[in-house]
Amino acid sequence: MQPGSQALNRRRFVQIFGASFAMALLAACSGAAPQTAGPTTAAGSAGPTTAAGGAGPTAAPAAARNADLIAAPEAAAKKGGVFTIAGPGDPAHFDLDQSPSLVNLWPQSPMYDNLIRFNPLDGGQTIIPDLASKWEVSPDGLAYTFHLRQGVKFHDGTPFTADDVIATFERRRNPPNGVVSIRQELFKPIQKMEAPDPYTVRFTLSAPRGYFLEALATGWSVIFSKKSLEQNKGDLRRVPDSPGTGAYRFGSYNAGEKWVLERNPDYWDPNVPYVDRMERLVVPDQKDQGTAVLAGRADFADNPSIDTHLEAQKKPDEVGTVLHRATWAWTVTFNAQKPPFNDARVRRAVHLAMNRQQLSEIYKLAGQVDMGTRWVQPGSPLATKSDDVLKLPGWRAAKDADLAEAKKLMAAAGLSNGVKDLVILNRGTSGAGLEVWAPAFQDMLKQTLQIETQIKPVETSVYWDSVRGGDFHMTILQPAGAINDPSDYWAQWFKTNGPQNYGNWSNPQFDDLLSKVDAELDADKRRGLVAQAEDLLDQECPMFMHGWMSIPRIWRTAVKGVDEQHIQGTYIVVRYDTIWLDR
Amino acid sequence: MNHYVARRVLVSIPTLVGISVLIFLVMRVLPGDPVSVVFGQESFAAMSPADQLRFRSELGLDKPLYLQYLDWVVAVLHGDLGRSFWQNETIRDIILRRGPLTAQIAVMATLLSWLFGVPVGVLSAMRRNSWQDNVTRVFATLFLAIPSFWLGAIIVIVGVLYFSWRPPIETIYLWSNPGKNLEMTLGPAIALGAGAGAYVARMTRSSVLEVLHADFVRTARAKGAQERVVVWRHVLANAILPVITLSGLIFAGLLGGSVAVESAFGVPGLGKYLVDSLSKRDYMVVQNLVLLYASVFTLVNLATDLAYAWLDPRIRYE
Amino acid sequence: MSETPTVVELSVQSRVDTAAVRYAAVPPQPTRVARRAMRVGALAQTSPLALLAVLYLVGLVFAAIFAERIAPYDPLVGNFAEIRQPPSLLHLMGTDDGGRDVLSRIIFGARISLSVGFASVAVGDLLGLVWGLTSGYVGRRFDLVSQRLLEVVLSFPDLILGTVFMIVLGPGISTLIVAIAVTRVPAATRIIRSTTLSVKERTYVESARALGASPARIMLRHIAPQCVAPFLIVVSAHLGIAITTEAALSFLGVGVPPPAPSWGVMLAGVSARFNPLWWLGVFPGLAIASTVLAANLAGDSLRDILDPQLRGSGGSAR
Repeated sequence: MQPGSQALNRRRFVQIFGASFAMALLAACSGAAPQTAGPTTAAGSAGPTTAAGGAGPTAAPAAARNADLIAAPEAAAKKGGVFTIAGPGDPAHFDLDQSPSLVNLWPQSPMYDNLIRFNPLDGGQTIIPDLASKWEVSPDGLAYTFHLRQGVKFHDGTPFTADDVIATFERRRNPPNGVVSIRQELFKPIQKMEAPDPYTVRFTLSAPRGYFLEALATGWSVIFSKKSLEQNKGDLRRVPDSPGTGAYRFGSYNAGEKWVLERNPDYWDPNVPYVDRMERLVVPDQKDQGTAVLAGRADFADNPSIDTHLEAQKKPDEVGTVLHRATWAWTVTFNAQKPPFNDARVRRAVHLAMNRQQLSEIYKLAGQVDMGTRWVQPGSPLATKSDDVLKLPGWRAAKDADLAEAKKLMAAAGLSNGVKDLVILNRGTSGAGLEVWAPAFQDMLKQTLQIETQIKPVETSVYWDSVRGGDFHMTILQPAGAINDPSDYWAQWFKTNGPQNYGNWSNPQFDDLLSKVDAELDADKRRGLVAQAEDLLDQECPMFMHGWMSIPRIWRTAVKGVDEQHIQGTYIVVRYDTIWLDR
Repeated sequence: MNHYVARRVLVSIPTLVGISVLIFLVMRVLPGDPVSVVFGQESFAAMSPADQLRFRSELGLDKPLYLQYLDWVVAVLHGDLGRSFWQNETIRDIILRRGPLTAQIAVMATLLSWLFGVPVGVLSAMRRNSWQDNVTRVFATLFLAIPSFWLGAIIVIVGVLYFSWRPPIETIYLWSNPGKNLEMTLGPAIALGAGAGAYVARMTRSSVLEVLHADFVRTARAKGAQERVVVWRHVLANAILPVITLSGLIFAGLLGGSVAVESAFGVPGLGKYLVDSLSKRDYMVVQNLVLLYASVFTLVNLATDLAYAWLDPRIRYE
Repeated sequence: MSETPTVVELSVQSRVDTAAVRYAAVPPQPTRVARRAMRVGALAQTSPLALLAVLYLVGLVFAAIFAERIAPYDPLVGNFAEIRQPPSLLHLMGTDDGGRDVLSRIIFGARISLSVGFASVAVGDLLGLVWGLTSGYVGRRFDLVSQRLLEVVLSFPDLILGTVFMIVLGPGISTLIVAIAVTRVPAATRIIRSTTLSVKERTYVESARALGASPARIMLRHIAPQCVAPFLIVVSAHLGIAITTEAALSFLGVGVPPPAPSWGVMLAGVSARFNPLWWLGVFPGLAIASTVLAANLAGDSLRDILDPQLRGSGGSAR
C-alpha cells in the first residue's frame, strides 16, 4: 500500500499485499543427485570422517564397549523408563521411500537400521557401521562392498540377509508402477547389485559418485525386509508396521494421537536401546510441542517454535535446548526467464544490496537463519567456512561498498530509476514469513534499489501451478536437501531443468562444474570444484540466498545420551537409540 | 399434527439432497490438483504423467462428475465416509474421535446460555425499566457485539498469563478424565455461551413482557392468584416457547461458531479439523464434514420446529 | 405493522385537494415522514446512546477516509527496533511482532471492516430485496424453487459457508465481499418476501392490477416502497453480523490475507504464542466489538424510528 498516493481514490478498498510464507518446515524436498565427499574405506572400527576441510568441529567418536557397537557416552547409563516426544507424526501414508517429510521420518525411523549410519554421538559428523560391520570401496570408486552382520533378525523373526538389502535398494532405485521413490536420483547410478554370499552385498556404480556413502547413511535409507516388500507388492503406504531390524519395534499407532514403539529385546546391539518404550505424542503445532516439554508433559521436542526455545533457555536446570543445523535454506528464487531478472546484473544487485543480517534479526523470533552460510549447507565439509563467507561481498555485514556496487549494476542494466510492479509469489497464505520476513524484504528492495513489488500469497496446493505458469518475478521458498551434499540440492535447484529450478535458470558452465563435482572422489579436489561453483553462483545468483536455517530442540534435563550440540542436518540423527533417562 | 410432522420431515429431504449437491460441486471447483497436494509439489513434479494419472484414478478423480457424486452419496449412506488424503485414518473414525469434543462444547454452551440468559431475562422483564433491567440490557447488548472468538482469545490470554493454562495436546473425553476435559472445554463453552446467553436473555425478556400483559395473565391476577404463582405457571410456560426455538437455532449456530473458537483455544475438535482440511484441499474430509454440519443444522431446525409445534397448542390441534 | 399505509393515506399523499375534501372527517395527520422526523428528535433526547453510536460510526468512517493523516505510523512497515512493545507514549497501543504500530493498524483496519461490512450488506441485502420482491410477487414455481434453494443455503452455518466460498474464490477484498454477501441473502430475501406477500393482497394493489398495471410497475411503485422500512431494518441488523463475519474469516486465515491490517487478522496470532502479548489481543477485539455495538445500537434506534412496535423484541433478522 502506498499511503498518501492512494488515499482518496482507493480509500474504500485497501490494496492488499499478500506476502505469505508458510514456515514450510515439513516441506522437505526430495533429493536428486546427492554426493558425499571423498571415498571412505572402512576397517572394523568407527568409520573415517567425511572429507577434510569440513565445517564444524569434529568431535571424537564416543567410546563404545565394542569397537563397532554403539552405546550411550555416559558410563553409568540407566536402563528403563518411557521416553515421550512431542512432535509431528500424523502422516498421509507410511512408506518412507515415498515421503519427503519429517512427519514420516521421525516417527518411523527408530524401527529400522541402515547399512551404515551417521554417528549420533558426534552429531552425525562421522559414518559408522550399522547393519554392515565393514565395507570397502574400490580405488576407481565404482564398486562398494559391504559385509553384513550375521544373526540379525527382523521384528517378525525373518533372518536378515543380503537379499533384503538388494530388494530394498532395487525398489528405491527402480520403484514399481504406482510407487514414487522420492530420492530415486541418489540411487540411479547403481548399475548392478550382487550378493556373492548371504552376508555380502556389492554395489557397482556406472560412474564414480563421491556422495554414495552419504546416501546410504542418511536417515532415509533404511532397510526393509524383502518378505514385507513382496507381501505388499512394493507399496508400503498402508503398512505402518513393516518390520525393521531396529532398536525399537512397532507397538501401536493411534492416528492423530500417539505412536508407541517398544524396546526390541533381540536387538543385535545389546547396549541399546535403554528405555523400555518410546511414545511420540502427535502435536502438530510447534508452539505446543515446546510448551509440552516446558510443562513437563513430554521429554523431548524435535522442532518446537523459537519462542519456546527462548523460554527454555531461561530454565537451564529443567530443560536443555539448542539450535542445530537444518537441511533447508531461506531463499528467494528469481524468474530468470523474465525481465528484469533475466539479467544477471540485476540479480547480483539484489544479492549485494540486501542486508542479510538485518533480515535475520527481523525474523529471529520466528525462525533462525544463520549468517556466514553460503551456497552449501554449513554442516557439509564442503562448505566455505563461515568466517570466510562473512568477508565476501553481499554476505558481509558492512554494506556501503556492496550497495554502491549494486547501484552501479542496476545502472548498467538500465534500471537506475528502479523497477515497478514486480510480483513476489509466496508459498502459503499465512505464517511469520508472510507477515514479518516478506514485508521487510519488500521494503529493503524499495529502499536500496527502488524495486517496487507486490506480494502475492498462494495456497500451497496451487503453488506449483502458479510457478509453472511463470507468472512471477520472485518467489519465496524454503527448499530442502535430502542430504547435506551440494550435489543433491544443486541438481534440484540450479541444474538446467532441475525439478526445483522454478526460475528456469540455465548455465552450461555451472552444469559442467556440477557434473565434475558429482564424479570427483578426491576430497580436496572436490572442495576446490565446489568453491569454484560457489563463486560462479555468487556472480550469477539464480536465487537470493538469505541463509541456511537452524531449528531448535528442547529436552528435559533427565534425557541423556545424544550429542545435541553439533547435529549437522535434519535427517541425520533420527533414531533415538542411545537415549537414556536419568530418573 | 401428524400431518404437519410428516410434511415437515419430507420437506427436509430435498434440502439434504440440495446440500450434498452444492457441497460436491463447490469442492470440485476448488483449484489445485489433489494429487500434488498429497504428494507435495516436488514429488508431483518428479512423477511421470502416467503415475499422475494413476494416482488420480486411485483417488477416484478421473470418473465423470455425476458418477463421483453418486459414488459418494452411496458410500455415505453406507456409513463409509472415505479416507482423508492426508491421514491414514478413515474420516468416520476421525469424526468419531473429534466429534464428541465439538458436540460437548456446543451442548455446554447452550446450557450456559440458558443458565445466563433465562433468569436474567425474567428478572429484567419483571423489573422493567428498573436499574436491574437497564444494567442487564446493557450487558446483553454488549455481549451480542463481542465476537466469540475474541472472547476466546481473551480467556486464553488470561489463562496463560495468570493460570498457567496450556493448550491441550491430547484428546481427553469427559468420561475418561472430567477434570482435564473441562480444562479443555470450559473455556470455549464460556466464550460461545456468553453471546448466546445474551440472545436468550433478550428473547426471554421480550417474550415474558409480551405474556405478562396478555389477557390470561390479567385474568389470573384478577382472580387474586399470588404473584409468584402467576409468574411461574403462566408466564414462564408461555414465554418458554420462543426461547426453546431460539435455543435450537443457537445450538446449530454454535456448531458453526465453534470453528473459530476451537482455533482460538487449540481444541482438537471438528471445527479446527475443517479449517485445516480446507487449507490442505482435502476434498473428502471437507465434503463429508460440511455435509455433516449442514445435516445436523437441518435436523436441529427440524427438531426445533417439531418441538415448537408440539409445545404450542395452537399448532398441535391444527 | 402499524406503518402499513391505508388507502386513506395513499390518497391523501397523492391527491391532496381531493383528499382534503373527501376525507375531511378524518382529523389531519402529520405525514409519515414528519412523524418519523419527530420520532428521531424524540429518540435523540431519550436515547443519547443511540446518538452516540451513530456519531461513533460516522467518526469511524472519517477515520477510515483520512487514515493516512490520522494514523501516527505506517501500518505496514515496522520499526524492527521496537517490536513487541507494550503500550507506551510512543505507541499508544503497543507494537506487534513486526514492529508495526497497533493503533495505526487499527485505524487502517477500519477501512477494511467498514468497506467489507457495508459493501457485503449492500450487495447481499439488495439482492435479497430484488429476489424477495420477485419471489413474493411472482409466486408459483419460481417462489417454490427459490425457497428450496434458500433453505439449502441457510442450512450451512455462516462461517462455514463463508470459509468454503473464500477457499474457492481465493483471498481478497472483493471475494470476501461476495462470500459474506452470500450469507446475508437468505435472511434478507425471506423478510422482503414476507413483506411482499402481505402487501400483495392489499386492496390498492389489487385495484392497480385491475387497472392493468404491469407486474413490474406494481412491484416498483406499490410494493417496493413498503419494503423500504423492513429493508433498512434488515440492513441495520446485518451490518454488525457482516463485520463480525469478516473478522472471523480473517481470523481463520481465509479472509483478508496478512499483512493487511484487518482486525481479525490482528487477532489471529495472539493465542498461538508462548507468552501472549495482551495488547495484541485486547485492542483489535475492542475495535470489532465497539464497531459492532455501535452498528447494533444505531440499528436498534433505526428500527424504533421506522417501526415502534418492534421495539424491545430483540429482533430476529438472522
